[in-house]
Amino acid sequence: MSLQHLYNDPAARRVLEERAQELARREQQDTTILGEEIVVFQLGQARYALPTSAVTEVHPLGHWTPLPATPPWVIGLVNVRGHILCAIDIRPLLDVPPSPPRPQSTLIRVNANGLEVGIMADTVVEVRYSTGDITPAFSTAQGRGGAWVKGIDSQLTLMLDPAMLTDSGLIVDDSAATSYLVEKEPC
Amino acid sequence: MLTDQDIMAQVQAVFCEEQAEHRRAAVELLLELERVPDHPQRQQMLDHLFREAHSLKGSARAAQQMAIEQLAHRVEDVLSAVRAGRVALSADLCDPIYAAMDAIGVLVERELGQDAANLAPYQALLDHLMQIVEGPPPQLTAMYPSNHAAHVSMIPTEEPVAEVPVPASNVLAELNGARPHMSPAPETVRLSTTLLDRLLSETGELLTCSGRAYQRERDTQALANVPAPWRRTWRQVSPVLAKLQTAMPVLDPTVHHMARQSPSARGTTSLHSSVMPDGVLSERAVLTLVKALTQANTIISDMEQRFVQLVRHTAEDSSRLAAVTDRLHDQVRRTRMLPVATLFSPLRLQLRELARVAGKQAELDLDDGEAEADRQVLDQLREVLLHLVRNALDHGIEPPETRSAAGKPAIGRIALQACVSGDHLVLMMTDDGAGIDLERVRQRAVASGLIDEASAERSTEAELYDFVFLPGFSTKGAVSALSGRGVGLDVVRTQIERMHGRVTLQSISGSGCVFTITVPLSLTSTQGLLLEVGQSRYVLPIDAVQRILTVAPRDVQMVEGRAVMMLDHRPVLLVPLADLLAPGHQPMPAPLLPRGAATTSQQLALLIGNGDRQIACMVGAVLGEQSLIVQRLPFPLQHVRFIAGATIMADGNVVPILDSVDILRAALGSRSVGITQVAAEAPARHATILVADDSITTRTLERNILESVGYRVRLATNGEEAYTILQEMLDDGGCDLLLSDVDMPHLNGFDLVRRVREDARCLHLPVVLVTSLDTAEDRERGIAAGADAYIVKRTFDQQTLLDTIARLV
Repeated sequence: MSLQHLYNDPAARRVLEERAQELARREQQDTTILGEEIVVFQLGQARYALPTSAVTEVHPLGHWTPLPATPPWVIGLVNVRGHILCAIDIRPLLDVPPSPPRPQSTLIRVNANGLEVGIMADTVVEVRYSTGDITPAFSTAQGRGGAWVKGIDSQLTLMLDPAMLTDSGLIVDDSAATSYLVEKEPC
Repeated sequence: MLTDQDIMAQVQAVFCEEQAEHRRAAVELLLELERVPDHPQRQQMLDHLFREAHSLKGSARAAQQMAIEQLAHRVEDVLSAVRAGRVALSADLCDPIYAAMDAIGVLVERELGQDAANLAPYQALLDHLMQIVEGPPPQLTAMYPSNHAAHVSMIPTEEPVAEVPVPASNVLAELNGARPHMSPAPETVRLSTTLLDRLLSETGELLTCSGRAYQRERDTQALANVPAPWRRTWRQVSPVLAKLQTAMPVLDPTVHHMARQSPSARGTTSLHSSVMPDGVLSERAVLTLVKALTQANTIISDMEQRFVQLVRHTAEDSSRLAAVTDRLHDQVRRTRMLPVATLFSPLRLQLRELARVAGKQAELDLDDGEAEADRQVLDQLREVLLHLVRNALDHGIEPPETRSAAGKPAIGRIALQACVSGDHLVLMMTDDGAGIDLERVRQRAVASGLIDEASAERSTEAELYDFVFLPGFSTKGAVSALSGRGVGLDVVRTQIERMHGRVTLQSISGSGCVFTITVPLSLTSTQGLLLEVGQSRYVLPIDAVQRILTVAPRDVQMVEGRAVMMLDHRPVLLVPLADLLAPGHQPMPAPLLPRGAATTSQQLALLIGNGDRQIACMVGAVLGEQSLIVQRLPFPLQHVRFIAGATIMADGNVVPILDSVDILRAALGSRSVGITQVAAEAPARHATILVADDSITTRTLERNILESVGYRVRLATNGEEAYTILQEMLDDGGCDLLLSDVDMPHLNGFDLVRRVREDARCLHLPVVLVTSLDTAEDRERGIAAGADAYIVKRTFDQQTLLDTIARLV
């Protein structure tokens, strides 16, 4: 039976359309059960995860250039094929003590709404689907980490939210300190 | 497929650009009509003005911007009435039109994309416009000054678009029939500036690649030189080998005999088994070795030849890449260039508004000199110019009565001139106002505790002018509505210094001020010194460096717990850069003293800053000069203290670019150092020196050194150019000294001096040759050519240079 034939039969066509819609619905449900695809990485004592949709690439940290007068979570500047990227250690942002990068450290290039940073990791553990059973993490209650951690899954992986990058609290702007100097000046 | 929404978005984007042009053209025409009420082309200009308003209305309707359409419609009505001669074009009538144009700008900015723009704030304006045409004459001239004033600052915030044809500023010129060469308009395209930015950053990357390719070329060159020692060895060894080879057959029978006796050696060429029990090599082994060596030599020779070829090809490719990349970068940079006129034209309207609020009268003379500069530069200058115009009007231009009493025209005049000098843009802003009362500056400086009275008496003009640029320093008693809201010219200076430019001030009390701003034409590439500070490398733009000094421990003195060295008879703060940049650094630099009194080693220091805000930054080493592509710090770093940007080195590593403004601030606080002594003998000021050198670093450093002690400097990049510039200078004010390098392209230093001496006007011009050639013969050659002094370039020894020049000028 040709497809055209089926199409021309209104009853058959209705059945086909219903089936198609059913299939489409099932696909959607499946992903919600499985959750999104995530990159799991080890950093210090803990495992963290980012959605693969936000990860552009993963490569060795290589050479980095530290910057003076920056917060402890700024590791420094890294040249990624001609683009200068800021490498960060997420731990101080989650109130976890940082440790200096090692030569074998890995850099995960993360992009959220066009804003890019490199997140340091000891190693990338795996790429898998999120189990979807996320419970609020302890640090979520502590305010500062709130924007960062979506929750923790059954394997104790901290699910990070790439939207954190767009959080204005992350922006390093020292010009405020400079203008303070100006203001303070007696006239 | 495009949805209706997509299409609307595109229409609105086009409208966004278009309306800005219509508004700008309309405002410019109106200003001109207002300025010259009986303009010979008045009627054409009115027609043109009407057309602009009409087009604005039409395109607003197309973009479904009903609020804007209404405003434009009313303006059109008014203009139509003016055109028909029913209403006179007066200032009272112009005000609401300007206000409407501003309002449209605000609406576009805020409301585009929203269906129902809020017209409510502009109802009064709409009514007023309607009244002009229909009803009673406008009785209130200041009906919406607050509204309007609030919008003034918003005028320049249009969608950034690279304007290739510059429509607005040409409007008047076209009308007047000027610029006939423009008539067959060159074809232009509109491009989003983000595209140009991306293009520039890609070319920047290409420049880095080309730098790396050059590095590869040198690596290959080094590799090609590796076999050189072998070549020498072979030359020594080959006769021996040849002899061995020919001598062998004689020895052959014995060897054969012995070889036959040793069964293990039979049928094998293994050297192992060819060694005789007493350690002597067998004949066969020797022959094998000779053969192996000859073969090795053949391979090495072959490799050497191929290497030489590879070097040649790599060099060709790398130089072609470098040339093309440079040209490409240059052209891409040029696409980002905008006429300075685009920066100037909004100022007219802004000044008009400022003058109205201040109750003063002032006219703005603009001369853009057809100069162009990078968009980024112009963007950063916009606020600076507005600030200076505001400052000139507020502090400079007197009220009309005062002016008339002083015998000046009632209308004040502010002139803004632009020109390009080398790779710098020079802006001069002159006003014919009251000028700066140096006596009041002096009093104010003493009152604020910046200097004591004794030093105040001794301060030179330049030093006093410098105070005007300090934060919070204002000679005006009251804070006015316009400028002087606690921020003064320090904002201007900080901004200019951040751009690696400089701003100077001259004034004649009673007759006005001149501000001169010099900034690079482009901020994306610059020359810098690569420094080693502690364990890290940094780059400092060469424009920020006044001098490179060597500091011996005996030069260092302690004053009030801070290390200081004497330079040109004044104390300069010594700051170890590593301590300043180190994390956890306290604002007050730790006292520095040579650690361990026994150290006699000299240290390098870079003198940065101007006037009495100078410090000497001690660095570990100056690793070299570098041409840099300046990249902004990546997200999320918006502004990091001490760091202005970053650049990628040829080795692929990132190096931060230091911000000299922040360093000065951190070291000095935001005030000047207490000057305990002031130069007793000032060097000959204002003498003009022509500097000829083909190295940009030497040129820049020499200029900085000379300018820092008050000389005026002209620069030439080679002998030929120096000679041309010298001729110009002789025709125009003269030249007091020629400082020239010896090794230069086109015309070397010796020949330059010889040629200069042939000119009767230059018989007594002092000439100093600076060179790295240090032989008695060269010295004699220099003197024979007619030089007055011959200075040998020792690394960064600049006191000799200054002393020599001071002696000759």
